[in-house]
Amino acid sequence: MQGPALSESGIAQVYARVPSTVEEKLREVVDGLRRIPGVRGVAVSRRDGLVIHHSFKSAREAAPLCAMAAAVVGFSTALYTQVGHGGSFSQAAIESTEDTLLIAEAGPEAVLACVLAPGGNLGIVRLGIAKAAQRVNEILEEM
Amino acid sequence: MAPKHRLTISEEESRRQFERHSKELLEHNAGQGVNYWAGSPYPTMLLWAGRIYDFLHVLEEVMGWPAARRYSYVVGYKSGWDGAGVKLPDAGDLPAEESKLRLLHLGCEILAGVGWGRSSVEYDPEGGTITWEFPQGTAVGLAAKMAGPRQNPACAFMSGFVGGWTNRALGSQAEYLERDCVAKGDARCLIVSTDFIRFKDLVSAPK
Repeated sequence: MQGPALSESGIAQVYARVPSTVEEKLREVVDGLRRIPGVRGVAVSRRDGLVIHHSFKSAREAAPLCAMAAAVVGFSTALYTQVGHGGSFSQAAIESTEDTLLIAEAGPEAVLACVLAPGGNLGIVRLGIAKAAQRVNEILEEM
Repeated sequence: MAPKHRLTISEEESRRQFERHSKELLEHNAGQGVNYWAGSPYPTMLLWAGRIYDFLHVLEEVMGWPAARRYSYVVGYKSGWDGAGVKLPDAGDLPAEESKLRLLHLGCEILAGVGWGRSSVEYDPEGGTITWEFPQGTAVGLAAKMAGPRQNPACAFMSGFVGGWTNRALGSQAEYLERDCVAKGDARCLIVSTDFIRFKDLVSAPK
C-alpha cells in the first residue's frame, strides 16, 4: 500500500468506530499484550479487516496488517470447512526471518494480530493472545 | 430542528446525465485507442459491471465475504472520495449546507450518468444518518444477480463509493453498509450509514 495515497485518498479514515468506552477497554487488552517481552505491536480488527484499535505508530502501519490478518482468518476458516476434521480455526503463526506474526479469531466479530520479535517467548504470547481474544470478544459482545 | 433532505434523480434527469457524462464529457484519444473523461488525465474505459462484482466474488471464494468485502469497499471508497474531491469546486461558492447538498446531488447525477445506478439520497443532518437508495438496483447488484442468487450483498464497491463521496461532501467519517441488494433477492439496493457492523448477524452462510 503506497504511503501518500493512503492519506490523500482518505483511506486512512476507513476504520471501524467503537464508542470511546469500548476503545478504552480494548486499549487495556492491547496494552496488556504489548507489555509481554518481545511483542512489537498488537492490533484488533473487525472481522472484515478494518482497524478497531492498535498499538502501532500509525493507522497506516496497522491497516494492512489488519486487512491481511482478517484474510488469513477467512482463508483458514474456509480451509477448515473444506478439509478439517470437525475442528475450527483458532490461531495462526507465520514466521519470517524478522519476526513472527500471530493471528487469532476474537469471537465472531473481531481478529487479533500480534507481531513478535525474534527471541520472544512464543508460548507465553500464544497464551496471552488466547486470553486477550476472549476478552476482546466479551467487550464487543457487551457493546 | 434541521430538516431532512431528499435528493433524487428522475428517469428524465438520468437520461440527461447520461448524455452529459457518458457522451459529452467522454473524449477518445484515437492514437492510444483510450478514452478520457471530463478532462481527467486518467484513462477511462467501458467495463462490464460484472467485472467489478468479480473482484468481490473471486476474493470471497478464498477468504470469505467479510474480508473480501473490505477490499471492495476500500477500492470503492477511494473512488468516491477522489470523485467528490474533483467536484468540490463545483459547489465551492455556495453556503456550507447548500454546498453539501449540491455535492450529494452531483454524486447522484454522476452515478446515473455513467450507468452505475439511479439513486435517491436521504440526509438527516440532525440524526446524522444518510441512506442511498437505488430503487432498481445498482449496476453491480444487477450484474451479480445475473450470476445467481447470493446470501450476502454484492454492492461492497458501491457502498464504499457512496461512503467516500458522502464523507468528503459532508466532512463526515461515517461507515456505510449495503443493507439491501437486488443480488440477494431484494427489490432495491439500499446503502445506509451505520455504526459498528456485526458480521455475525450478516453472514448467512459460508461462501
